[in-house]
Amino acid sequence: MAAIPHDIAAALDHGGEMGRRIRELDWASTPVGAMSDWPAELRSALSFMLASRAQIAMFWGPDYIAFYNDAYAPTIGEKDRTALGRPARDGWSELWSTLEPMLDSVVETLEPFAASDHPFEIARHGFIEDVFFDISYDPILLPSGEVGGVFCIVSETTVRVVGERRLRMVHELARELPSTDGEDEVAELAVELLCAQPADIELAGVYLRGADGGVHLAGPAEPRDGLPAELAASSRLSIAWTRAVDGQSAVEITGSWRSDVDAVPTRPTILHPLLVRGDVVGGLVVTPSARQPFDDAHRTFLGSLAAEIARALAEVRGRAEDRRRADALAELDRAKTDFFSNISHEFRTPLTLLLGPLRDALDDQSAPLEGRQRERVALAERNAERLLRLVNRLLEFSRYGEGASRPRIEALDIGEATSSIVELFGELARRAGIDLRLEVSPITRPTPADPSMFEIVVLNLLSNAFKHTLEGSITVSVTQDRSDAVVTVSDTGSGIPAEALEHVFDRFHRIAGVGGRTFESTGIGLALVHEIVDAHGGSVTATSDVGVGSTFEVRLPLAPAEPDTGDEPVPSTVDAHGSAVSARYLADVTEIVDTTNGATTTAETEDATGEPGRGHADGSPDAEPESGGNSDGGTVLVVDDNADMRHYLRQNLEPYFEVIVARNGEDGIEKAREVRPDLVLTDVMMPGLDGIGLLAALRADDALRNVPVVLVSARPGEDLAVEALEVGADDYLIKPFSVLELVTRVRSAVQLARSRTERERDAQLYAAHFEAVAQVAQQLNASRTWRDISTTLSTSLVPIVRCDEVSLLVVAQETTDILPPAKEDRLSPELAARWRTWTGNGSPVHEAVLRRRRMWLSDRSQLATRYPALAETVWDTDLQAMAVLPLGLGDAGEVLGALWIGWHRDVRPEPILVGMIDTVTQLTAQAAARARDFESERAVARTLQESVLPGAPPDVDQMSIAWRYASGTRFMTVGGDWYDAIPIPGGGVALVVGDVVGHGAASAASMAQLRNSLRGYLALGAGPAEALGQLNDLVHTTQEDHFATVCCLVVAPDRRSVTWSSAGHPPVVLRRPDGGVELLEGGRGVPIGAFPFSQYEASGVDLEAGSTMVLYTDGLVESRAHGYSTDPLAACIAGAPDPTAGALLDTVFAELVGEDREDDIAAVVVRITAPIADLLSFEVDAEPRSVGQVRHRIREHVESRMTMDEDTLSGLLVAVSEAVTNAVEHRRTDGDVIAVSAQVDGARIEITVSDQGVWRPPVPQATRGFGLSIMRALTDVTVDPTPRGTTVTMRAPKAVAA
Amino acid sequence: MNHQVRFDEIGAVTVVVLAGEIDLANAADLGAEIERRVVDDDGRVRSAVVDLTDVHHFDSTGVRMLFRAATTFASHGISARVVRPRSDALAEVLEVAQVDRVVPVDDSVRDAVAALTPAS
Repeated sequence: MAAIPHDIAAALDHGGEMGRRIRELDWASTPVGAMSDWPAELRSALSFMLASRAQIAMFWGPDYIAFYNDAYAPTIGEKDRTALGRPARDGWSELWSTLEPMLDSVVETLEPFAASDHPFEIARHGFIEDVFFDISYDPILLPSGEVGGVFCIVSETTVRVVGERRLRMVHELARELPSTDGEDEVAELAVELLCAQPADIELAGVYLRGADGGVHLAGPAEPRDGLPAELAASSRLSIAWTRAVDGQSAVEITGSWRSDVDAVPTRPTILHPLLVRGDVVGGLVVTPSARQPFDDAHRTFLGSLAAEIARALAEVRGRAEDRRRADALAELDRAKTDFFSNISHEFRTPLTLLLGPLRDALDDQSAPLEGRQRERVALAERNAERLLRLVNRLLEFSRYGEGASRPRIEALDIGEATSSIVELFGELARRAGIDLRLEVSPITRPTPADPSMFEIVVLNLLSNAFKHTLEGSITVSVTQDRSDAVVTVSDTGSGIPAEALEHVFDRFHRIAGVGGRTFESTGIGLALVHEIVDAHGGSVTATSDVGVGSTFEVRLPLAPAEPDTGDEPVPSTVDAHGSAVSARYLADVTEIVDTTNGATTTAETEDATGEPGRGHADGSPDAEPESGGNSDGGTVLVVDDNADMRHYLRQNLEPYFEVIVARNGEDGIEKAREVRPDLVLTDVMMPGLDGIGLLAALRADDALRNVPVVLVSARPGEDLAVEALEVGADDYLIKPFSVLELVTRVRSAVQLARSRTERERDAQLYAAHFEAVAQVAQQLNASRTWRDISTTLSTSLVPIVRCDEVSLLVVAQETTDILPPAKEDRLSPELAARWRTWTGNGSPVHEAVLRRRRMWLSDRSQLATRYPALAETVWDTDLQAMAVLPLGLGDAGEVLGALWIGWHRDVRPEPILVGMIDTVTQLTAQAAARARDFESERAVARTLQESVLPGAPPDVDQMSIAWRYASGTRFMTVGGDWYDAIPIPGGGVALVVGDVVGHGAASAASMAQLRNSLRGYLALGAGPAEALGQLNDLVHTTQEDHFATVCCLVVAPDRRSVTWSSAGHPPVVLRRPDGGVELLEGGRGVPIGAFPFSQYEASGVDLEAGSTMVLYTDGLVESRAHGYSTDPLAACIAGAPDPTAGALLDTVFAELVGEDREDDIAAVVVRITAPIADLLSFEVDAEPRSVGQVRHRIREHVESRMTMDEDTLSGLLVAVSEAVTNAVEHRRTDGDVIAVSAQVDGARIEITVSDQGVWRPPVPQATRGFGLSIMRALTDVTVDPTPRGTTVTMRAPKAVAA
Repeated sequence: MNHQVRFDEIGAVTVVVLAGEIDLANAADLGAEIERRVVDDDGRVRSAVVDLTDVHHFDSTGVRMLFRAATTFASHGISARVVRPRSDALAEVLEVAQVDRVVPVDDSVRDAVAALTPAS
């Protein structure tokens, strides 16, 4: 072997594998020549190259003979076998066309060449791969002035470049896809976006499951790139689909399967199932680019793409469902209007035919009606009249309401028109004892309006006021407010509850549960007002206080001001006195007022319409005796707020029953307690306590619980039937009803009550309740959490199975213990308190869960036989029977819990009852499975998030810190971002902001781990770059799948500078005190988890007092509208009026954080209030001699800056000695250091001593442990022990104890 | 020979005069030297005073040193007393540690010696 020049021998010896190979190569046979002849420049470059850890290659001589070191070798993969000592054009043949000009230019110009992320196409692993390098090519000059070779220092950046490119794509999908209109559009856009990145994806297609069950290629119908239009057309795809659906996970298809390509592909094609709420709704078929290695990172990337597509599909699907629901509701509304309009027409004819003969009969002077007959006919006539008015009102609505004819606009004198209508009600107000006031201010211009429509508006508002005002006043005013005419109607009536107020203008809405005159109305009056005012371009608003009154305000725009021509047309008005509509309204209101006032005065008066008043011709029905009738048939309590109705019912029931009457719910319950009736017949709609409320009160009363109740209502349809039975009524009557029907129903209810058997009653009820089961199903489907389910069961299951108690028992996932019942369960306090006795070991619940068996205990004797211990513990409760149903999916699935039902009576497992319970159990089991998934994921994410995000920022000297976290609003984005502030030994403060890729529980867990680790490193004194390096090492050594960007910024103890390092995180924005803004760009490295052994660098900058820095996550600088840009943030910070930390944070959030954000956002603002003057900060080794050193340095520092009396200072130094002594004695290893800081501030001094050991509390022992007592005696001391170290803070002068 | 400690004889009493700073770095060595000089003299010394008047720093390690020495003296039948430091802050260390429950504390060497010298 040729001689080796001594100056490179050592380099070759220590040059690793490449040193050995260079030494062994026969250089004499290469153009470079024998080693002994190598020029000094080659030898020194070679030595440098071999000694370096950087990736270095060197190309020597005109043939560019290749040399490289161990670090470089892996970047060329398999080329390494042949490239050394060979011309570069042979070794790098596939990229020679790129490489040659670069090398030539260095040689020719003598200029170095450098580039970042320079792309190359290299074949190093058997395929052409796109790779990226930071490169620096430098000429090696010979003494002759020529270039001997090119020295190439490179750093492969492929992982970062590719990683960032993929991250951008995932973000792009997340941003773009959800805004599309349909599932096909999601799929098309996804394919378009995917195919736009051929560097990562060669082929992509989305298949969606169609309504026909087939799986179709979404987007253009023709097959493309060998993807069949129907998935079923490819057997390979079909098989993969089946496996993907079964396993709900990705399936790889290898080998040749495409019809358009013959060659066997080098990359598998992957079918990712697209999961929406647990269902596979389609699949993403994707072939990764053959120009990238197909590794785990690539797989994860493709999985993320599929997840984003699925998420977008779920969102689009949710929106479509919302739209369908809204359309259906609108359709229903239209149908209702049509329906009412039709039936109203149909009703008018028979009503008119009915009224004529009735009036004739009453007016007939030749054969006048007498006594009872006259009374009956008068009652019939009055109510036929009322019915006609109601029908007319409905017609009005269809005429003036939504979609009806346009208003016939005239120039209306609105003051005059309003007065005309209000005056009409004067007489009525006087009679009702209501103070009706009218206040009309002059209006400068006429109001363009349809007079007949305006009339209806005022009439409705007045009627409404009269109906709800029993005493006090009604004020109508007309004023002008700028260019609007304003009509207000205020009353001192019962008012409208806030929750009802917002619906007051909805159609068919009536205000429930407030006092007033009556509930007799169609619920369309105010809706009609709203529609009409709307059609006039005006507005109507309502304000109200319950018990104080309501005010309705109508605003109509005035006609535009015109030049005074002197001959303005006379505006129109409303002649209310001649109006049939006004007459009708007045009659209606009069009727209501008189009925509720029980007035008899109307009998002899004429009302304002000039028609004869139609009062109660034969005296007041309210002058009725409290009771009367035949008591043999039983006692019936009649409750109705309408005097006529009471009278009518009493008259017809008296022949058969003893009848007692009550005027309203409160009166009813009082009378019922007094007389214990055999039956209660009550109206549903009553002011105050209504029929349903009365029923509930009766059922809640032990003595009256079993009294049968028959509800009377004017509301037709099935919903009353269901509602009535649900609330526990025994029967119901719909108005109108015949006397025969009334008597029969009441009689049978009384008889039934007297000889009722459980079987008959239950069977009857269950039959009616299957519909209710469907309702429970719907509610259970909508239940997301266990508590939702409990609530649903407690409210909806109880009336169906007529049980008294319900509990949903949950089996804990980890321990399989049965958890205590939720408070939403319906359980008696005794059973709730003793839950362990009926759910614990050996209990029916335990057995049901354990053996997956339904249990039914019909009565106490069964309970006593099978569970004697339990029977004993429940003997004093009302529990008689119970059923326990295990909640499991399928026959083999896990049991998630149990449904427990208890009765306070004996209950046999009748088939119909068991059937219903089984149905509900299955539905509950499904809901429970969903609830468990939902809750465990969300609970974990939230708990972690809460535990990880610190509460208030720490209080640190001369800095203020503010921070905020906002979760994403569009998805359930919890668990991505975090921030932190860590005071570090010596007085510095580290601020951290990080962003873990992804959301949900897994990301929150990652975040927790990363945050805690980073805290630890920083608290132990690592600098920002060092800490990030340690974090990255940790991630790679633990092989956790974390990927995060993190920024770590450390403020120096004296607050005069910061250092920072960033792992792929957006730059910190610094605002100088003069308002100038800069981005802290340096110190950037790759994201945590990107690849192992990453090194991080730190950068630093000096600060002044008033410097403010903003750390944030990318949600703040990334928006759908503008993409990624820090400009808006920088501009916002530069322009913020008040740069204090809190105010700046407010400004940033107000300006940049929208209501609708995809991503979560974390931001930290830190402001340097002032540099810390006179801060002493140093570290000493944890050794005995340090105790004195610390004392001396502090003494020197203090004495040079302040005057402190010697005793106080000696005392303080004794305390410092104690702290240091403790740190030395409890050091963990010999290398431990102790950080000390001392700060003088005027007459005060504060000293901290931090160590890495564990503070030992003083042990009461004869000769040890005085340390802390001595410190406490001499100074203010706080000890802050953590698992990682202890910080002792001492302050002097000691505060004087009060 | 440690320049922080001097041993004087006043009558039959050995006075251990301490000066300077006593802490973790030197307390153990000082304690050992005091015990060796006072006890090892073959039973000659019957009473001793530890004089802290001129001590500039004194903390719990010093207290531990005193307790050890006092225990050792007692086991050899030597009566001992301590003279408190001039500094009030350091005197408070003795108070907090309740040194006087183990060994009596005096205000001056004269008082201490007088208390140890049998009345004649």
